[in-house]
Amino acid sequence: MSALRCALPVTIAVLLAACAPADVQATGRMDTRAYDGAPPTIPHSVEELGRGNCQACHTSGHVEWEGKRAPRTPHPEHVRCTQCHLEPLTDELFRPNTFVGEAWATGQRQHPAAPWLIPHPLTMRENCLACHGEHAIEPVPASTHPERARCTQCHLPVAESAPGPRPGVPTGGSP
Amino acid sequence: MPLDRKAEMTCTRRDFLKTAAVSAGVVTVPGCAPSSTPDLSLSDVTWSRAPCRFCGTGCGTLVGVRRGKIAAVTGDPDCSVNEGLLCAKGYHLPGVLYGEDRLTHPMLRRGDRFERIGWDEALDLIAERFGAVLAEHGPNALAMYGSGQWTIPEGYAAQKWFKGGLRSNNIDPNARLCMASAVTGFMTTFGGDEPMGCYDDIEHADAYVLWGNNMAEMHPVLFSRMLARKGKASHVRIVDLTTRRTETSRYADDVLMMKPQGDLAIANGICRWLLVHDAIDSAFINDHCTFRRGKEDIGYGTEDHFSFKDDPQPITLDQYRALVDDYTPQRVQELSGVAPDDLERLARVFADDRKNVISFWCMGMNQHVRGTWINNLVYAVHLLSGQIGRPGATPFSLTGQPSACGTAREVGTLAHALPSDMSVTVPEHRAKAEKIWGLPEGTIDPEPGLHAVEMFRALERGDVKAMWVQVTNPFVTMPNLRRFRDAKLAHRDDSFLVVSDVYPTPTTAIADLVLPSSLWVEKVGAFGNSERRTQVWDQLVPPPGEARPDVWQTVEVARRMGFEALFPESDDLERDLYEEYRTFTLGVGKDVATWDDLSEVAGLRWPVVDGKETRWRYVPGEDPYAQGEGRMDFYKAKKTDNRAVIWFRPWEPAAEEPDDEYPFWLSTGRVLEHWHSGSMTRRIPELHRAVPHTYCEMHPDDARELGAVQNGTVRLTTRRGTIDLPVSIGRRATPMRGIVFVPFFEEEQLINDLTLDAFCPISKEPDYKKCAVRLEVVST
Repeated sequence: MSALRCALPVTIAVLLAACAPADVQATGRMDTRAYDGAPPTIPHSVEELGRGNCQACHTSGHVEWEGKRAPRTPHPEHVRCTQCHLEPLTDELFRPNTFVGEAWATGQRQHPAAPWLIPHPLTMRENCLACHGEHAIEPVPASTHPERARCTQCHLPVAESAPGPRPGVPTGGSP
Repeated sequence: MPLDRKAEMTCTRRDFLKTAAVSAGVVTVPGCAPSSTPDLSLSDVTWSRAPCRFCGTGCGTLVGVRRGKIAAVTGDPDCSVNEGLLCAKGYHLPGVLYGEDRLTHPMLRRGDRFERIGWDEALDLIAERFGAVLAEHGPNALAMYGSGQWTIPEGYAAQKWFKGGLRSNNIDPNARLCMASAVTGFMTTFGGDEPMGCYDDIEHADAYVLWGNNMAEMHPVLFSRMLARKGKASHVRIVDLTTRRTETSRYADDVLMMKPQGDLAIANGICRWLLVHDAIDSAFINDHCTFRRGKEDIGYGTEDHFSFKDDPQPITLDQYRALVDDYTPQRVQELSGVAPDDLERLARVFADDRKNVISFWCMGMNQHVRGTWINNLVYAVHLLSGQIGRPGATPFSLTGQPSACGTAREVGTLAHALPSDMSVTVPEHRAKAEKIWGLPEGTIDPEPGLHAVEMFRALERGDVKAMWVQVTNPFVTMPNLRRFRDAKLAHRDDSFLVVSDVYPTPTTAIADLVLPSSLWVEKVGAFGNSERRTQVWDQLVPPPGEARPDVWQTVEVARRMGFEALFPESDDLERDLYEEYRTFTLGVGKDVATWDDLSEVAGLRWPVVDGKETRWRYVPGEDPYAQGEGRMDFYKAKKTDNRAVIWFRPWEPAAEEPDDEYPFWLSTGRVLEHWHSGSMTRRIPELHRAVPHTYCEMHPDDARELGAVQNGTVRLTTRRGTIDLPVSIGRRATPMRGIVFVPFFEEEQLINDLTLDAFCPISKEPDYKKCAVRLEVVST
């Protein structure tokens, strides 16, 4: 897998410094996901499942704690986070499972000057800048031009079979 | 738009199959991906529509398949149920197929071991053993225990084989344990099963009243629809009527804590308040309702061979008024713990005719020794107040399982039922079924068969000598389980138990023959959800090893027993069975859509007439069957001249109440992450890790008095069994003082050894929410 991960095409070279071990970053991302596109599990303890507690840190994406940044939710309209995001309480399994989730959110473009294609479904990720804004967390690329809010004017879904809103549906969002 | 999407998906899938070997790269610019780029983009994933495998919400999913395996599942943005959103179980569906210990070949018990055998041998053996029991002991010594997770064709084939072929009505689904009271509630009130409203009501409502219903965990996507509505309209209120402060309570505007069984008093109290304050909708009642009273002091079914038949008597509004007058605010408080002010606030929610109110309920009201009654009573609240028949104003009974409605209820795989609300006890109904099935008159037995609890009692007694269990795990989920586990069925020669499943379970462990089944999109299927929506799907991936669909297993055995005429050869078995079943539904207001129409869209809500679905049943102008100028036409209520019945049903105590020896209530249920007995969800790493073990949830004051501490161990003992569990205080939920709650998903910790097999005498649905338990601290 590391060979695959090393080949991760990245948008912003600055974000992935040449010495940065891409596989470590990618592993970190996939550590909390059953597959690319699954809701990430919660990598910290949830002391109290109170209403609005998650939003306190995850609405702005500006909160840093012990060197980690709380990712900004791309779907703030959904307020009951533990409907989908789970906190693992153990590493153990009930029975082994052979499902291996794939990290397929790798960028592609037609030629070096072309805009990157969108490699993931857009459902519940309509607000591109929530993840690709100035507080993007590696290895998710940050936009070099967040002021151009309407991303799908140039960036198209990678395949017509990808589910989610079609091109032409506004998918930008305020920076 | 849905049609376009389907065409696009179909096209993509076909192209994919044609060019599977070609590195897909980017479809729009084929071949442009650099050769070193790993082939991991979404472009070689084909997406197909299928409903979620888990709860009765019926969310649409898009299943991403890559190289013959499921790679991803996402919400279907074109399905109006969920508009692209799922819950943790839905998103983690890919893992459900790939537990390492999937059952992959038939296995026959030899002493304490299982031996691999072939399908021919397995199917011949069932035909031989079932045939021998039939010849020697008659059809009532056979039984089939099925599921609200059966697909429609699976349930229909089993129904036809048992009732039409074997002439045995001993077929019942696990839906008896979850939805039977909803069915009897609907049938006795409206003359036809299933909700009149639909999920679209959520966006039209001003208030939601949740009757013992933790929707945030049990129907999460519908709960998030309610929260979205609240987010857009700040006046919208959630009222949570509950015995536990749950995840749902955290988002509720008003939480009314009630004693177990108190709902009967509260509903009567609301009805009395509406009458006393002249807040009833008199015009609606005059036009569309009638009043009835049934038998009282009706028992609890804890004894074997229990039987009950209600005796409805017409009463007038004034007689009704006098009966319900007992439920003064003070008496309601004594019985339920809800204070007069709180009761009045709740009654006023219903009384405000400028607002639209939805009542939602599920297991709290259905798994109830007076389950039929409390369903009747909540309908009475809505009928009296007129909170019915307008978008956003409706009583809404939610189902637990993905096809409890579609299969158990609509196909009628209950021991007394025939398809489309028909009963084996009615001569014309039997005649219709016999005609469609091509059987001689008088083939179908007019006596109802064994309901689930009595079926397992009969198995334990030795009266049932051959049983087939499909798509369910009763040796974790039956109440008073100890009795059935103590029967040591695996070592008895007088019983033959066949279990079809996808993973090893405590039920397969005691089987004589274990058959490996296809799961979800490993087969063609159809489900029907809580809002009358039928959804079909294609097989998307191959099953593992020799696993086969349950419908194939049933039909193969039926044919081997000589019922080829009931199940003619077919290249498209599921579709043909569905279309045959569909003939039962036409013209009676239950018309399901054609398979072809359903394969184009994310489901359609019946009755579907001229290809058009119905959102609001019984409403003229919306429902093609509803006639007249009135607000509603209860055309299924033929016995009561198209009038809905307002029942007087009293409060009566639970079957077993706390006392000095067993001072706490024991209530059981689910958690969001786990599905029923956990045989699927516990094998999904993310779900198991979030809730690895069950626990005993307590009120902090009860824990303090008892000396129990967080994560310490308490011993729970009822008159039936004992179990040691870790203590959970103030985490996911907090029960009222005097109640403990235990999730039932963990097969190593069988809480159902302790539960009581008391049931509603009308619906025969057991009450998993109320029995008496003693607690002792084992360790701190």
